[in-house]
Amino acid sequence: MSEDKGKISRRDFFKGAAMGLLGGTALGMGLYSYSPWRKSYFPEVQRKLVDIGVCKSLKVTNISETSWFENAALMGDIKGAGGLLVNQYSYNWPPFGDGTGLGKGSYEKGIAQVRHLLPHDLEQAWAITEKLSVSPKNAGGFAALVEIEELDGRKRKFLLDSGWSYQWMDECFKREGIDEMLKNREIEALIISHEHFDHFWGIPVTYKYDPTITTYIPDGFYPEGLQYIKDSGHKGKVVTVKPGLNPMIPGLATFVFAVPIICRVYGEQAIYVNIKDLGLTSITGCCHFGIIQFSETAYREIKYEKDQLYGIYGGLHISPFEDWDPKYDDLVLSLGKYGYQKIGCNHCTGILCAKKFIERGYPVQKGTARNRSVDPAYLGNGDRIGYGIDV
Amino acid sequence: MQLEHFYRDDPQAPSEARLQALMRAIVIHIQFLPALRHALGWRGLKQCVAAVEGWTARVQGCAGVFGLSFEGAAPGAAWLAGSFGLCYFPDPEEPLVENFSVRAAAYTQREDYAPRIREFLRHPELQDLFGIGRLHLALRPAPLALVLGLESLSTQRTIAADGLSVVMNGKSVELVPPGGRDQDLPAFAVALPFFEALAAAVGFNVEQPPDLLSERRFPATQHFYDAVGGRRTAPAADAWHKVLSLGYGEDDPTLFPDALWPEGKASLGDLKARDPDSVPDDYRERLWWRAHTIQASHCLDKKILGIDERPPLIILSGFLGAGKTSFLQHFIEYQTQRSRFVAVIQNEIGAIGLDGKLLDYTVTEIDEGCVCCGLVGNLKVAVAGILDSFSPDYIILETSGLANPLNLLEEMVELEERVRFDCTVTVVDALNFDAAQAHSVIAADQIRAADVLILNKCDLVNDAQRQMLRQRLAALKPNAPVFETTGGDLNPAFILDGDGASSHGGRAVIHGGPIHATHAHDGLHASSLTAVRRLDRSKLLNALAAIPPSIFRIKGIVDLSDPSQTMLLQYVAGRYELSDLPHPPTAQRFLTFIGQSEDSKCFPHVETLIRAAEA
Repeated sequence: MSEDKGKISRRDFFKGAAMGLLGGTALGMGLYSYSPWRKSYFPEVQRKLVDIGVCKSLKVTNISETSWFENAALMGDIKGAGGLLVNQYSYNWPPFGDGTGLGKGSYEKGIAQVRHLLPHDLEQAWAITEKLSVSPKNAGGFAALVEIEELDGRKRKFLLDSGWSYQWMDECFKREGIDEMLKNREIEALIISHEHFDHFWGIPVTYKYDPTITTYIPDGFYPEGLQYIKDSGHKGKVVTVKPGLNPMIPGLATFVFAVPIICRVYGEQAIYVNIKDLGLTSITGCCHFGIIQFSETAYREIKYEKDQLYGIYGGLHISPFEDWDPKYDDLVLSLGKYGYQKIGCNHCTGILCAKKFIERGYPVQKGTARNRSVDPAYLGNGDRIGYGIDV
Repeated sequence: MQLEHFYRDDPQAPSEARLQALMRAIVIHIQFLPALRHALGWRGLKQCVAAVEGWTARVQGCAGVFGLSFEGAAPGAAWLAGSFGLCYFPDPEEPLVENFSVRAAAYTQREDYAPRIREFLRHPELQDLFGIGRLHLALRPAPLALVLGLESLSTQRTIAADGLSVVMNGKSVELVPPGGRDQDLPAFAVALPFFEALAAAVGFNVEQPPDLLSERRFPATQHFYDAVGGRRTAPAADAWHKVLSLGYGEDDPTLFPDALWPEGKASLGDLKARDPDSVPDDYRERLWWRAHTIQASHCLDKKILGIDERPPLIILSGFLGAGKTSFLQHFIEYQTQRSRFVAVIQNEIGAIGLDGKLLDYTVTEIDEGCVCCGLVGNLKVAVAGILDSFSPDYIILETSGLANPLNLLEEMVELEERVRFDCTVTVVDALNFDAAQAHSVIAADQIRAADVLILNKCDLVNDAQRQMLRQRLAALKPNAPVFETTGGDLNPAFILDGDGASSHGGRAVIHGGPIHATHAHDGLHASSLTAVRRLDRSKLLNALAAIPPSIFRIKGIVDLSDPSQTMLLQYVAGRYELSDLPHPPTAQRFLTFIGQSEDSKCFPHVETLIRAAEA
């Protein structure tokens, strides 16, 4: 086989052709193609279109979105403890402080200090752990009240996450009346999005008012987390949700993503709500796996009204990793493609990011920046948003 | 070896789900730390989901993009095993394009090539044109073991028996002579860098080096086609079908899952090695042997893995009001969203450092003058303080709008032990360019010192002006990349590489000669007005209209009347902005002025104007 030294450069040839009379799409068509790796390739995206039922409306109350109050203090602690891959239970943060200092803690030594007080005397428990922990005043928490109105008018309530600081979360629960709702057993279930400190470590506050509440956790919790549910005085059912779609009640389903997350956590659960005549609304804690992934998953898995992605609430991350092309690493651009009609964002979204959404004309419902939420671009603590219902 | 820290297996889940989840965990877990993923060879990752999960990624040393997609699970009892198709999408400019098939080469020159790569799972022809091999992943739950394999061809060849000519613009051009090579790709060599990065990720995650390296060779074939539709495959004597596999927790290849080996082929040669010294050169200096020695953020021997624990320091320069603070806000939020910590050293001429109090980050303010004017001791103290209290991923030194970064470069050498000077970013005010250049020699020096230029406020100038500005910038600093921005909004990834090391990093310039102009030479002067009482709104606006041109810049927090409001005032060369400040960071009400000191009357004059506006 001779190798022609005067060979034409294929790059030059086809670059020229692309700019010439032939359109780009005609380039190379008709030429032969063979691959030794050819297997039966999977077909185009097949939408599973699972029917999760439908509801009339959704109301979300932001109990708290301020997971912590000083980002510098939080990041400083994480770095000091060894970084993002280190087990969160070792930080010596409340409520698992044992007095040995940053990065030297453990679940066992920490819980031993307060277990006997959970969940009936949280004031005392928090007073003790404050003295033994690093940065106790920085702890806040994330939690939201999810209210579904069924087609027949019946109202159903769910609690998404239980925050972090016993003190802060109890204050927030009382402010929104969550304590009474729990006591009256009006809230059907506690759905934990993921095992992170700011979403999960405040569960004793929920169990203080309703220790029997059914608790849904995503598959992937570590032994410390599973033990903590027991040590917090939980007396109800724990449901471990496997990766994938988990329909719960007509119109509401959760979806568990099997992904590793920072601070040695695995698995995240998010909520999808299908609202009649409007479309699908998603509720996320942190969306660690990325809002793009989240929206694509909804498209693939679920059948929803008007085939429309309608609303979104919660913390929005674009993705857990850096794109290889920064041109595309832009949440504002990406989110626009899905056509969301009502956006309530907060927590880890980023205030500048939220402001960019607003500047871009996206339908962001602004908040009131009260109760330690800092900017109206966020749907802040105590603010509400309704999908299919006025609030 | 362990899996627990990064993957939670569910033996009841379907094999397809478990395999994709395992691959997902391997690649995602190492992405959280920029220095780590950079050291392991990764240069960016994107998930691509269709009916199956896929990934596109860049790795070090390769200009193009790799595509990985789940193919399927293999049946088996002891092992969970499956394969992933591997593609390489060459950069349209790289020489490797010539080795792909003519049709693939044509594809690389399409205008929509880049966006299609990102969604390659939706374009099946891409896997046909750019497929270079297969990755095998296998997990044995008990005793715990993992195998990662690369199956590829040393040469992937297609021959056009009758040659290949393409008609373009009416002319017939022969691209392949009869009997010549249509595709002639060293596929295994192309795939190896990706395999290395993936194996390094595995090694880090399972916390051990491979127990076994095995390379098996099988007979390879090449493919022929002719002009009338004839196709045949024949042995290729000069090529190998290779399977390279690494065993973790298992060093007996006879126990590896059968799914690794191509069906129906007998092995022609077997290489087995248990350490890097007994392998051929090609496999000796590979990251997968050492990746496990990185311990989170601490490294046993940084030099071995090339991880530099010193945080990068970026000098952020730019004339008054250009938009440094806005750029900084975007930069910080971007890093915060990725759980990275930015420490800022900021100084402002005048007694009160304003910006630091408004931004939510850790700041060590260096007040009373400029970093460049002889307070070098302060900078060292500030840096040491930050490093001792935190472990920032980045340190930004935001210089005063009047500071000359050229003077700072010498100090960077002094700080070298503790920080890695990365680059100088200068923000240029597109709207007030001429005014700034006219006022101060420093403005030109700031551009000359820059490794990266950000041309800000592009929304306030037209295309012709922007073009002209680019020329002016190029005249002052040829070869520095220029990014056009609005509101200082620039994705930091454009100026920083994966681990924060700038692709545009400058070298510290050491001058033996005279120090460069500082602001004192320019005759600029700063003064502050404190305890400002509530100002009458309309009187203030009138006062602002009457500010003399020798006062170049005003910043401060004031209370206004009708309605009662606390506002942030920013004034630059005749333009001003009053922004609502519902949560003022300080109870002080003050204004800081910067202007020409030659006009000694201007400061008292302005002070009178402002006091007159007090309600």
